[in-house]
Amino acid sequence: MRCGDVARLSSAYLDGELDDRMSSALRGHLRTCDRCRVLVEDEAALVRAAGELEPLEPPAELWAAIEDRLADAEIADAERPRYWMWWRAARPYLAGLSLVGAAAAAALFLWQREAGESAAAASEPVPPPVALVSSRSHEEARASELSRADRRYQETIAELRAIVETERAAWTPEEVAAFDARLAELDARIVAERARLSVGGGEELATSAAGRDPLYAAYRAQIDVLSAAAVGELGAR
Amino acid sequence: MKSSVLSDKPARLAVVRPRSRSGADAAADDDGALIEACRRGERRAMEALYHRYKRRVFGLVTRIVGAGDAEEVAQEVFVRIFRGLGKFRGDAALSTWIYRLSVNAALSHVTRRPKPMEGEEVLAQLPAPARAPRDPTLSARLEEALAALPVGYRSVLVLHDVAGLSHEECAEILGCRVGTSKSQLHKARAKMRDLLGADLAAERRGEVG
Repeated sequence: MRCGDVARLSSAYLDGELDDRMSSALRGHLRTCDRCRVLVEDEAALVRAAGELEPLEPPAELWAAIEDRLADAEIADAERPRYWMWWRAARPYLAGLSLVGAAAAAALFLWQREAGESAAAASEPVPPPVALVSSRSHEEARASELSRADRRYQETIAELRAIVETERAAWTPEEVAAFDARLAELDARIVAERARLSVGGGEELATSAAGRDPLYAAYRAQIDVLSAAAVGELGAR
Repeated sequence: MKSSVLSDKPARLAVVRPRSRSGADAAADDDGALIEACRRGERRAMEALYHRYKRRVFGLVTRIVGAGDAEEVAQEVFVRIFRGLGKFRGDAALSTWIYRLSVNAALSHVTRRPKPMEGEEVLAQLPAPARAPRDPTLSARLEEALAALPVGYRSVLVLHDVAGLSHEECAEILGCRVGTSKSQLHKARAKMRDLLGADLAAERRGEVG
């Protein structure tokens, strides 16, 4: 046993992790080496002192402050959109199904959202009869449809972000950093695709459906990442 | 026969002290009933759970983030505990799960705030009146030295040496391997020996309590 060995094994020795022979060899070295003996004794004194540190008493008002924050969180939950309540109810059945579950979750989420919109539309009063010949051109109709699809993707992403935000508190800092990096990558891709499709540099996008495929693929990739994170699959995608 | 450097006296040897778990083994059954009551939103159960774990959480958080931010982070930890009890599956001890939430919240807080000074600069920067009269005990100086450790070393040392957790528990809480926990602790203790060199020498000479 040499001084370098003692320096390397001191913690294991003090924590009782060395076998009898190694412990004996270490103690034998300490009998003849003052420097190593001081090193080990100092470490033992530190471990002893650390174990004897007094418990720290929190301030008396801490519990009241925690109750206030819980109350605020419950009020915030009550004010969330209905889709959030649906998601929370469905989540236990989707969690643990990995990528298939995440994809199913995203599909269900979008279907439920569209069903909600259809129900809302069905409940609207029947509009009065209009002239059979519409003044809207085919191009305008297609532009309107593409615009509605774009808006629905963005709204779905925004709602999934809000759901994921409630999950983040339980993640480790490493998981948060990895997720944020992946999301930032997809955000940049969406921004780049929208810039490519932009008409005259504004918010209006070109009405070529085929030209929008890369943008919609980016939206779907982001929805996949968010829906996977919402069911706890942070390593997905 | 080899003689020690201290000729007529046998060399004093450090005693290996068996680690004892400070976990809540005896209270595991109690924890189960308390968890169920908390999940039902029973306020008295929630307050009981708070009082059962408040010192462990507050102590751990204070020693990682410092006294200035400890109360805020401890609030965050307990909100996460009560809001997250539905996710607690019972595959680890409740205390281990609570420690994990505490460490995650503390480390998140540390990484979010401006990087503090680490190392001896922290000790050197303390104003003279705050350092004298100084509590001479090694424990008091140890608290100051803990604050000067890099946060990774500080976390494992607080969990293992202060809270008395095993390396298996530390590894589960910190999300690392057991070997990593051991090597980090070894380095943390070495760093503490550097920071407290003079105090340890005085301790050896019997000059402090």
